[in-house]
Amino acid sequence: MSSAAIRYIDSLRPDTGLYNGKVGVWLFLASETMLFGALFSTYALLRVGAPAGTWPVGASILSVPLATINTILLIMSTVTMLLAWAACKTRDRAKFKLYLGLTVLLGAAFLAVKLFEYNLKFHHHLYPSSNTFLGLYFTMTGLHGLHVLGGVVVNAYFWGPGSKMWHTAPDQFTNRIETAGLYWHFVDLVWIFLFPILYLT
Amino acid sequence: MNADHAADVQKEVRLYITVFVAVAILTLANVAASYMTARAVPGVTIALMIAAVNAVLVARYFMHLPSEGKVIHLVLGITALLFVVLMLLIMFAMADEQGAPIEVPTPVQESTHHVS
Repeated sequence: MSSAAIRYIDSLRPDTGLYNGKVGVWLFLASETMLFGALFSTYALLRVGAPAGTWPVGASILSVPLATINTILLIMSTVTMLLAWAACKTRDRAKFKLYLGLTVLLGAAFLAVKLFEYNLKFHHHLYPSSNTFLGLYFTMTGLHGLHVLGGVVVNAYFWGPGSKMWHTAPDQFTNRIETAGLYWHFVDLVWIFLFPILYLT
Repeated sequence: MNADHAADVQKEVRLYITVFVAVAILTLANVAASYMTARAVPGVTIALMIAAVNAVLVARYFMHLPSEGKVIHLVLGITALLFVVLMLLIMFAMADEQGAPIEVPTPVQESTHHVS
């Protein structure tokens, strides 16, 4: 290995016991926690500070059935992402392609349902500017949706042209799928809290 | 790839599917609870408790958090502390009554009747 090669991309660093990508993605997820945490705390302040009777119940404006479908889609995609990583570890390329492909499709389906929901709101003249609750709803779900889109794009890359690394550096590729999977699980975690806070309370 | 390793992965796959079913059932339970709870505070509490259980299942079994290195646990511990501080700031702000409606007193109208 030349001195310019990146080290610890498929081997473990002696001090952390992890490969570099894993430390990097967890640091990134820590920063994402603060990003969404700021929005959740904003929601809490504005909701509690709103005069009594002025804050709408989420279910009266939003579609709980559509959001429930979206929650199940995202949880399914997080499992298929994990199964794709397991297929990398057992070097089963056919299963890897199947499960990662399903992950991309389920993520795209989530976004399609979200867009349909937004369209329904606009059709009923409910916009981010309509009231504080809707401003927060569109901001929080919009930011989450952008994260889902980013994950879908990255996973689609790993399914397509990025999968060439399967043949040249399989261990490094497995680690890439693991780090992409950690990001995807985090996106699911955020929705696990967004869904009840916005739709069910 | 030896048979033992493949068998271990198969066992893990069964666990992942079991956890998925658990998370899906808890999600549906959360939806059902929201229709049954009439008052706001218990409703929020129940919803967040079920969400927290789901989050722990995802973090524990899907993200393999317990088996990550100490450095990860340290980073996440600091993050959790800062998150708690963020939420506490809200409570302190509420205690200061920031954002409470301010009543502006109506100015006293001066009499326009002049006595000559």
